[in-house]
Amino acid sequence: MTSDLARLKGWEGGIDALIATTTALLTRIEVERGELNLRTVRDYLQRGLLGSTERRGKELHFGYEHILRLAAVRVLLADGWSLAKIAEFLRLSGLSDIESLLPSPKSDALAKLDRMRRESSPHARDVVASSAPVSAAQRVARASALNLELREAMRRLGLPEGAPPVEDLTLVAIAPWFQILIQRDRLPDLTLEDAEELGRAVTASLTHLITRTGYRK
Amino acid sequence: MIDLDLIPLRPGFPVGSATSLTVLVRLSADASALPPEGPRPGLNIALVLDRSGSMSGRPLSEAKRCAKAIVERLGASDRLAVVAYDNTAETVFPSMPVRDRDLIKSSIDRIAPGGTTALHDGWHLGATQVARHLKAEDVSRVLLLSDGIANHGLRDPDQIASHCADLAASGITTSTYGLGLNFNEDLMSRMAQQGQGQAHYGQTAEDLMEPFQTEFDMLAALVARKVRLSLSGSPGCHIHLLNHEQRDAAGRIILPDLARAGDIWLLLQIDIAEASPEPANGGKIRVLSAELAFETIDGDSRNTGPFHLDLDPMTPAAHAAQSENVTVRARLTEIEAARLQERARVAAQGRDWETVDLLISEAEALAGQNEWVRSSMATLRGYAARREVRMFSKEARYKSQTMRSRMVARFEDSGFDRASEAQAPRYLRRKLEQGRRSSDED
Repeated sequence: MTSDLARLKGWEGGIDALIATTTALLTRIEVERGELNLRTVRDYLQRGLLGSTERRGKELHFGYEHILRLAAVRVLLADGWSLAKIAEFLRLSGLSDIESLLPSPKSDALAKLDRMRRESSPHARDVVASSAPVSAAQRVARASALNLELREAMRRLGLPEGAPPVEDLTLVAIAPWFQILIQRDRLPDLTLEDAEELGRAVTASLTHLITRTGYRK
Repeated sequence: MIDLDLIPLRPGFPVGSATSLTVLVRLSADASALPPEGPRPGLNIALVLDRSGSMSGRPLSEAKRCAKAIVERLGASDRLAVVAYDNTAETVFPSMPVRDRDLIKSSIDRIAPGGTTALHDGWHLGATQVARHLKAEDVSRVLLLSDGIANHGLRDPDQIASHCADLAASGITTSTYGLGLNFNEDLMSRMAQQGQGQAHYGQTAEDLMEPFQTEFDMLAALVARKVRLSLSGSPGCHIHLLNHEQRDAAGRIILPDLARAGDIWLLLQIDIAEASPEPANGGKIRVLSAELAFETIDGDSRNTGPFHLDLDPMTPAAHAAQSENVTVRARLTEIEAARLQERARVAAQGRDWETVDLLISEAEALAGQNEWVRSSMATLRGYAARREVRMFSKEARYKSQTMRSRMVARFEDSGFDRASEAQAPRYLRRKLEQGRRSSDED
């Protein structure tokens, strides 16, 4: 347990104090993604993420375990977990598990990793902060990278760049609404590597349709 | 508790003309000063698994089996995070002490195959998990598995490898596990080399388990970590490193971790100008001095030395007539064989099989009495005869890296037989094919 947590043992307070104390803890360990506010915490309470609570008078009353759970939710959200997955995880975890989940105060290694993430491609930033708001510049960078991938995939397959080619042939129904046509005489020679490469090309093609032709609602 | 020996290829110092000496720096644990086998350092591990589409089926199920075997080898004082990546990286299980093994294993079971290979994103997320709980006394390591090329996110091998080196300087090392025919062996081996971890590969999914066992056997047997060596040559002596060229910010040579019953080593070529150093020290000539720094598994920092190499002056003819030290000759043979394999690998990638055959023949001739090197060349010749470019390239890459940097069993001799190798700890065993499990080498 870190000294930050040790100091909070025995802590008690109302919901505003819970938010303030947890925010301060998250700031010290530098895991924060957006403002932690009353509405968000009430949502977590309704979902059962913070465990059971008691009332003192009209006010909800919280303790050390609530701080731990609230901080753990924010850490796991920063990892890209959904609230449903976090709820399942917390249900299976004891207090000491949740304590050990919370990071130590920021290290030199974490600072380096932050710098690497900033210096890397837009993809890397998107992965780690997948649900953070995306700026117009980031959207442009992402679309540009996807477009590059589309062209590379097309070139590797020996196809003209630009738009997905169409042939009328054997139909493979991946889903009722998603079907693929393949030249029948190519099927016997297809390898697993070919299949993987085709998969990338399909992803890139669909992405092109979504991002460039306005099919998205 | 670490012995350091400076051993010249031939005894004596040839005076009167410009010359070149080969010197082995050998580090070994002093067995009498070691505590009995007991607690190992705490481990802070992130296991990063490729779940791209090509891992679908047997490769992914075998990778998951390896991951679950790792969970079984860890205890409540160790931490484990599991990360999976395809187009994006996902924390499958956040870094936590390994208390509830079933919970971790069920998380691993849920990993499903996906799309492309965002290798750097996976590594970065695994490293972040480790970094959040970094302690100087733990062994903190990212274990990265991939069967493909980095084709999503950051792809530049130089940049990725430099990230591994940068993080190793902050205490988080990287080991890599390549699988099959399609992974990028240059990238994966460089990540491990610069990340100060280990590089392994398996030709098939079934070959994966042994490398993981080897790595964890070694972690359990560590006696010294963060081993750094400072060398200084006497005036007129210029030192060239023939292996382990990586240095830390203070200019010290970075050496691998040392485990029980093993030697780590560095081979030097020392070029000496015509005006050789003046004799001193009872008529001997001082060629080289060395100082050593390392950490024990308890986290204590130790500095030892200086150690000196003082040689008796003699005529060049008398020096040439001296017998060679067999250990130094063996290491020199392996380094030269490694160079030839790297050249053969480049030739194979250019489909220049005539040159490949010539280089393998040269390495076989060089091997002399070194049966392991000679037999290893025979396996490479097989790949060349079948024109298997990708397999040749991978085997040559990992074989040459092993020959340049492997930990050597203390009492290893020039002979080689599999029955004897099987008696040694896994991390000291010599294999004929780096990508196949030992039981399959026949």
